[in-house]
Amino acid sequence: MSEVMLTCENITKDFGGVRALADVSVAVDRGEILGLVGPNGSGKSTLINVIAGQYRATAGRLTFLGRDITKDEPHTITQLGIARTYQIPRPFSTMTVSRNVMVSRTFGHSNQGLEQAKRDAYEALEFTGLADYAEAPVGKLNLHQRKFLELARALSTDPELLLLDEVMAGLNPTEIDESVKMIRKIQERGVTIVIVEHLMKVVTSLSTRMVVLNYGKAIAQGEPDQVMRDPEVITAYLGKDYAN
Amino acid sequence: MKKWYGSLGFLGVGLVLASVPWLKSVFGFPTFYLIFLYFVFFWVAQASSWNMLSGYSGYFSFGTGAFFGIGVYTTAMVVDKFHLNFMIALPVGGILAALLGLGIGFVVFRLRLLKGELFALLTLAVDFVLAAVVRNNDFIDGGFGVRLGAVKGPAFLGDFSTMMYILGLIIALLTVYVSYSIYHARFGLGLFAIRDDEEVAEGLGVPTFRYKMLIFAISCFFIGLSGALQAVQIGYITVEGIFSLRLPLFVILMSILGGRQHWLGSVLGAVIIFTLTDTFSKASIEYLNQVIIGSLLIVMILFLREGIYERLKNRLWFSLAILIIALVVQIVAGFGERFISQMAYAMLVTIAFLLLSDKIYGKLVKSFSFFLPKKQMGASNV
Repeated sequence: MSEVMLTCENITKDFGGVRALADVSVAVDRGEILGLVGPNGSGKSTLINVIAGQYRATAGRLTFLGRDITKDEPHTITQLGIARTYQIPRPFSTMTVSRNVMVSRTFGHSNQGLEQAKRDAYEALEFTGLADYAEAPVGKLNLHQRKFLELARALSTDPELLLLDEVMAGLNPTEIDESVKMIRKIQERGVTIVIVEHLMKVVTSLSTRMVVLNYGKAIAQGEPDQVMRDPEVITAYLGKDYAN
Repeated sequence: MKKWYGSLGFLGVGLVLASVPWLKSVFGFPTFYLIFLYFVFFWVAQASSWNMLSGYSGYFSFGTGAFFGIGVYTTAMVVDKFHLNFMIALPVGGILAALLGLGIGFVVFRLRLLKGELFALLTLAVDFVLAAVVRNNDFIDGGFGVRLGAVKGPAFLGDFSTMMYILGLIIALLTVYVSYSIYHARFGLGLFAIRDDEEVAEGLGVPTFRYKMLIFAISCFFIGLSGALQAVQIGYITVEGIFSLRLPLFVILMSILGGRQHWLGSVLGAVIIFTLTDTFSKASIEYLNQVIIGSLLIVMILFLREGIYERLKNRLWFSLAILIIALVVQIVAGFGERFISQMAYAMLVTIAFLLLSDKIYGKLVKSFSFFLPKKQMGASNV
């Protein structure tokens, strides 16, 4: 029996008159890689933001390891063990690469002192292949390195649950292979992962389970192959004609 | 380790500066040096307080005058209305200013919209509102001003100027030490993260609301504390003088010129700007004073955006050499009537040197390299 780590019960999120998420219920089990897919504007990033606490759900309930986190501030949620990356990398621009990682190491779930955080930062940079840039200003990094810095920062909080928001968008095939290997390694360390991704091939091969969102609703959940054959999913992506 | 080292440095600087009044009695140099240094301490404390909040966390405040005013009027009330020793007003002024900061912070930081220019405008509004309240409240001021008269301090602090010097020194040292400690602590790292991207900082676990409240309160405390002492120096307190825009604009100017990224930046900025304004306003070219300071700001924003500190740390020995040479040349040539103005001109020369681009500086270092210690040669950027 797998342990349920995070449950989203009937999550609804409105932005003014627009309903971005409608009654979404998803559960994440410990140790899995949950693929979160759906066409543009289907609410994937919104769901990530709600789980991370950046947006507050209009209705519904979030439970993480038995604790209700619906109304918690983002920093509390991070300290409890949920970390996220941003679709567009948002490094701290006046800091060096290693200082960027130090921030998450001291303030995250890891909760290390500055001296220890400094040492640990190098480890995280080693893991993501950025060790050579440790003392460089972030301006020196290209897009793919910035994406990896996002990952290094999120990992350094020592998360139990990692939310990856399109870490591979904009990367070339070699870099994508690198990221896939890295994500597998993270999973092997015992981190549970929710991954939002547009590249179907990658996400179906990585995920142990998938959830498909369309217009803010969860229209399918299950094994990747099974989900991809679901008529409703095919309709959402390709139109009704392809469903049969 | 680093902390222990730095604290010792502060103690050393403190002891050296504390011995100045004693040196004065030995060598008999004029009292105006003590007064001059008191004002340097005042500006160092004010600029460092501003920088703790606005430089570190990026919340640009125009409200220094409000918190300063609280400190000043606390002393005015304590001395003029309650007839108590002004020493009581120092901590009380600081605490009242911190409480006002906490109150404003609670409202402003809860509404997450108030960032950037809106925060700056709001803090400026606090200054205006407070000025209006004080002007119209007969018990506090009522628009006539408050005259403090002869203020007595504890006897062991000596005569008035010595007392002001020592108290000013303690406050400035304390402020800078706190600023320094925050800079090196986890707290500081969190504030820098807030400055760069608050949402991401919060997402990585930085308790942004609590940190902003805390730094706002600490910053206001020192502004108020320093203001409470400054009231004694001013003597005759008027609403127009206290809540004017001169103070907020100068602390911003000092911190920007000195460099907002580092605790030492605002200290350097305060020392330099005050020395320059003091010199030019006394050199009977008063009208040029603001022109010079203004032009300096323009030039520095164009060519030295990160502030003096960022350049200075890579060119420390070279800059010190230039400062000393410029000073010695003036003294030997008998140029200028006072040491302070000679210092001001030497500072200007050094700043001109700091304005040189890294490229030109690199060439200069190469041609002078046989003079310098090895470490400085590469103009390394650590």
